[in-house]
Amino acid sequence: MDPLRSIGATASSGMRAQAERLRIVSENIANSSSTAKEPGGDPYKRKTISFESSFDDRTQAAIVALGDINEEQGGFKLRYDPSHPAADENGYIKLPNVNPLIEMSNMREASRSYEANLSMIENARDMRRQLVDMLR
Amino acid sequence: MNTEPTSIFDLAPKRLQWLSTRQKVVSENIANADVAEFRAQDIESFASYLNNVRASSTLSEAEVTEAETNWGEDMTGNNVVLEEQVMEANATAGQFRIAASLYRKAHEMLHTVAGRR
Repeated sequence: MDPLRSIGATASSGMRAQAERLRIVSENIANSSSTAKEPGGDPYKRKTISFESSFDDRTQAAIVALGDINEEQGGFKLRYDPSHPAADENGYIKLPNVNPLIEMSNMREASRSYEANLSMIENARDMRRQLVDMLR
Repeated sequence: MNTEPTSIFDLAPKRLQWLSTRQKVVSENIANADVAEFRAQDIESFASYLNNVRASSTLSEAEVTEAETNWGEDMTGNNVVLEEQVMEANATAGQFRIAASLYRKAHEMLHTVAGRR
């Protein structure tokens, strides 16, 4: 199999995985203050995503596959707010276990990895162009 | 041992094939940079690839081995460092450019001798 062609498959699978990670991060940030609907219930739980190595038979390339999306349990912050609809009998509401700092660094890392994959595609395209130039 | 004179038309395709395999492996490393327990890969040296190709007489792909890197690893044991891999990728791209231009130059020499152009 042509290695330059596998680069496309490998790098685009990496980009897809990082984009999915970015999506999860944005879901977490958007829901960083979503509380429960019913009194005393659990609020939005922070989501995490895992990646795993995989092999694409068609292009003979090692690619990245998306693993499970998990919800992180526990670690909720409590706030005293008796008038809130989600407050329990003691007047406390549970706030999501989303830490904006962690989400931000996760976001930076995802976009950095995305760029690295993109530059591999550009590299492979440049190499192929030089091969095609030999025909001229 | 190879006794025939080194021909650029013989060597260049092997070099280009070896470099594209190298680039493929680097791109797999970058894609797997966030996979738990993934180890960075590299390929055999060009010298050892040349020996294997001479023995088999086909343009096979170079053997993939585990990379020797000491740039550090993360908590899961993944030792891919993006900066290192991007540097490798750029170095490989540069070497590819050299090999491709050399091949072109050799061709132009033939053209000159043949009296065309």
